[in-house]
Amino acid sequence: MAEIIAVRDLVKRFGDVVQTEVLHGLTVSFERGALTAVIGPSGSGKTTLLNIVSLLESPTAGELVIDGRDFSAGDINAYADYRNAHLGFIFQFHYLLPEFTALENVLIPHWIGRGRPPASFVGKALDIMTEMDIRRIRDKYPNQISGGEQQRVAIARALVNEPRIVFADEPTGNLDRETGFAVLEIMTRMIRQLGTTLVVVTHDREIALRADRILELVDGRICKSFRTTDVGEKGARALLEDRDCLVDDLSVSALKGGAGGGR
Amino acid sequence: MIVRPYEAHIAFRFLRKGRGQTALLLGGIAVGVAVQFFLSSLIGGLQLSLVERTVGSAPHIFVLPPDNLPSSVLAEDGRNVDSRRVPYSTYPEILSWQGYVDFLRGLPEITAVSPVAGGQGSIERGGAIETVAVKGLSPEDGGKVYNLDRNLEAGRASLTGDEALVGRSIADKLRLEPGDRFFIRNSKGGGDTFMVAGVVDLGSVQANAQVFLSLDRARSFLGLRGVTAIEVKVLDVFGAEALARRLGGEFSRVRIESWQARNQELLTALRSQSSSSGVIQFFVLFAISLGIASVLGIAAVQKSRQLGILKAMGVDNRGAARIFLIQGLALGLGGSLAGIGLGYAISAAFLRFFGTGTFGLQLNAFNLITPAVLAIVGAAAASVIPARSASRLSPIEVIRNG
Repeated sequence: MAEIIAVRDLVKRFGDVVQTEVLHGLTVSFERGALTAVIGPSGSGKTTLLNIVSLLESPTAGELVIDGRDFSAGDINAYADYRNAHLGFIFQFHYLLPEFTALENVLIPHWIGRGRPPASFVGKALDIMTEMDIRRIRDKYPNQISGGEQQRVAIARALVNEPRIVFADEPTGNLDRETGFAVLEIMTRMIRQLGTTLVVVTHDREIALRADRILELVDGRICKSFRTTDVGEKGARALLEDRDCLVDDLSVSALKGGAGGGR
Repeated sequence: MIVRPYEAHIAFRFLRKGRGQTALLLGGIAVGVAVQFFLSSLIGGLQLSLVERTVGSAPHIFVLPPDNLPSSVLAEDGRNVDSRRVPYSTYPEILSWQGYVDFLRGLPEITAVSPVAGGQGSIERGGAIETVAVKGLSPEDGGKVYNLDRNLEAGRASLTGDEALVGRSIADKLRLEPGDRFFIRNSKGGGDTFMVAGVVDLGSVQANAQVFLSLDRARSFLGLRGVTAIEVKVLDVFGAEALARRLGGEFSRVRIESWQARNQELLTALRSQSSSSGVIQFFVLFAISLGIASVLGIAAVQKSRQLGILKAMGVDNRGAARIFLIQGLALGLGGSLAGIGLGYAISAAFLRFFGTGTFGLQLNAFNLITPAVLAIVGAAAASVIPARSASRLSPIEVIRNG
């Protein structure tokens, strides 16, 4: 698969006087049309990586290329149009605008990028809402619907502009397990239907196991990177259980079909 | 400022969903605009009334003969000149007055020009003697300068032959009525008999201590070869000073004075009134602007989560700022419109319940539009601070902090 996001020697430091380096020269790529799960313990840098590759935060150093365009330098404000046209966001909290109804929230990306949505676009938004079983709440405000519904509206909003990449940060972290899996099911189905690339950050290994590829970060470095399709579910579980890091992606091929944690 | 559709869409939705807050802000601006409108109308009306009373029935520009300067009492050979030989009753005169009158009547700024023969006299009637100012007016424009038709209280505003118009004070003191005849003695000891054609009220005791005659009879009565002044009325009362200065530059053999030069105290009072009114209005506007800045500032903090996610979805810094600028402008515009209505209602109620008839409100477009424009500008300026904070907001901070 061709890569859609390429990161090379990515460094991110926070702080002015006392600096903390969160990402230490990270090199990684994300495949077009694939579902990649980024996992790792708290403080490993996975959300920072997501924020940088989704153009919400600037890197301190390193290269970032998305769909052939270099985003290594520059103010993230300059990339607002690109974010609107090509990227979709799903966060742990739904972040719906409480002043707008569910349908209006879904239409907001069109308003921002292209102005008042035409009837055809509203129809498309309603189709997505139907797919996600939230059409019946189209005229309700966020405070009038359940947490699962709120998150489904947020997913519909992320998908409505047919973005090239959707970034999701703990998309079910604020939901109970059952609702979370239901939402995840809908999200992955819709994303696969649209052929969109998904990068999802999660703590939850069960969620990660549904991805095409898993990337584990530890202390700001890539610890493991493998395709679940290569190792199978059993192999993937074994790899995730293993506390040691793999040397690099190439070692994954040796594990193909295996159940243990190869080193 | 080019407004993108989403900016207005979101700004108006923020205002609509915060109805209580929006209503309070609109109310504050409306009251401020109404107070400004009412104050400026009231003070404007008062000033107009004062000016009208002062110069409405009086000349605006005076063309006067040069002053008689004291001459030396020593002759060339050093002997004393007998100062008693100086004529005791001469008035400074403009002899070639017709030329000035013709010139002045040709100016578009001028509405009436009257040559005047003025002097002193005393009316003797039934044992009473009253010193009066005698003023002869031209038959064409004299009535216009003093608004004799409008100010006529009794009789006719006619100055032909031996007819005279007497001021209200003299008529009261000497119990003169239209049709009465009276004798005026001039300063040379002679005199003449005139008939009261009408009684006029010119608004002040000083102005009402005058007797108006026809120009020719007055010149003959006062023994004048020319006229003592040319009195002029202009279209723009407040432009009289500038016109007087211009005319003063053109004519070297006469003095030109404006009504402003003769009423410095009144002008100072009017200016002070305008300044104090301006200060009050400034602070009203300032208080409104602070209120808007404060409320929108709080709104910017309250909406930071929404702004953060909007920025993540593609709203740039300018767009985020404009969402608040539009709110400020909309509040200013809406509040101003409501304020104009409220101000008009307050003014109408004031006139109805407290109007004394002595002065009215100056209800004009300037008084109406100025506070509204100032409020809109003030509201927009007040929204700059929240707009800046919205512009600087980092989406990641919001997302990170929930």
